[in-house]
Amino acid sequence: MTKQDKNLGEFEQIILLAILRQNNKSYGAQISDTIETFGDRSINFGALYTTLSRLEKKGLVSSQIGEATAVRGGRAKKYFTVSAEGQKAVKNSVNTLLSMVDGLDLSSI
Amino acid sequence: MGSTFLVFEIQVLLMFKHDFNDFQNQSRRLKFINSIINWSVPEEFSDAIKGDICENFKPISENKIVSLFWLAKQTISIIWHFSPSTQRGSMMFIFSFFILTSIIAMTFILSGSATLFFNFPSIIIVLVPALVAPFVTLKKQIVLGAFKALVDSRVSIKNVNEYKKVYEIIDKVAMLMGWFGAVSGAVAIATNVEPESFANVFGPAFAVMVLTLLYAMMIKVFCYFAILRLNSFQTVFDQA
Repeated sequence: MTKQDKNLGEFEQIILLAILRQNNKSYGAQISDTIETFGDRSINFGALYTTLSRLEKKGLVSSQIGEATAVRGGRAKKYFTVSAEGQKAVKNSVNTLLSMVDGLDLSSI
Repeated sequence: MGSTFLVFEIQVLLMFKHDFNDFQNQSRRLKFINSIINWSVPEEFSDAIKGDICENFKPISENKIVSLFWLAKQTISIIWHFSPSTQRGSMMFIFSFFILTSIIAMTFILSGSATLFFNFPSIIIVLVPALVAPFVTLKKQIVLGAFKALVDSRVSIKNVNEYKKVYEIIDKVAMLMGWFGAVSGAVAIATNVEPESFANVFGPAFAVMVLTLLYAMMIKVFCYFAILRLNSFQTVFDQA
């Protein structure tokens, strides 16, 4: 993975943080709800799953098939977990953001 | 692109405009998005997305407008994000087909009036035999598979040569029927037109006579594009 691949986009950061918020094990609908609750932003499953697929290819998340429920029409959940590399990437990304914000008076903007 | 999506959204809205209360109708509405998912989403995410959509759709299904827009939004998002990678060839074919159709329509309109180029009996003479011939000569699954292969990149490529035969048959039968229509028209003109009315009658009669050839050529162009599309499957297969 190149250095550029390790840089996270905004949406990638949000998704990784949403998974981490659910004890580092979350499935699509749950990630979507978490982002809606904490991020005040509604997302579409097309965007969510293409990003998750990209993160999985980068090795930043891993997935496993979970249980099927009636409310899902008998279809299994696909749980995503942030890998150690993913946790490191999100930490670096958030630290970069915080250091960029540090000392900046955002109230005047 | 925006207007294409608007048209698509309207189509989705129309598909889901019926009764919104009972479970059967919920399933019917989800059936459409599920077929879109089957078409565009990779298999490893297909079930997970269907399940997530079903789970999120149920609480809002009571509210007809909200559920309608939510489903339309999800459908567009899934097509927008997945199909460029999973159905690239199909999208290009559909795009090429629209361009081709637009050029033909523009040619017709610029020639005077589009109605000049419409003759129902001529369409029947060319189109019906061209579409029936492959069903008579090949297995039904092969013919249906050939049509499906144009808009679905994930069909089995082992039958590509058989699929190509379908379009070759359509092409040849359409051209033969086109000539048949033109020659029959010529005979009819030669037999029926009186020498004194020749100048007035020959022009319009000749125009209708060659329409069968025009339709045959349009089908030939379509078949040429279809075979090119199927050749791309073959190239991927050969490279693999």
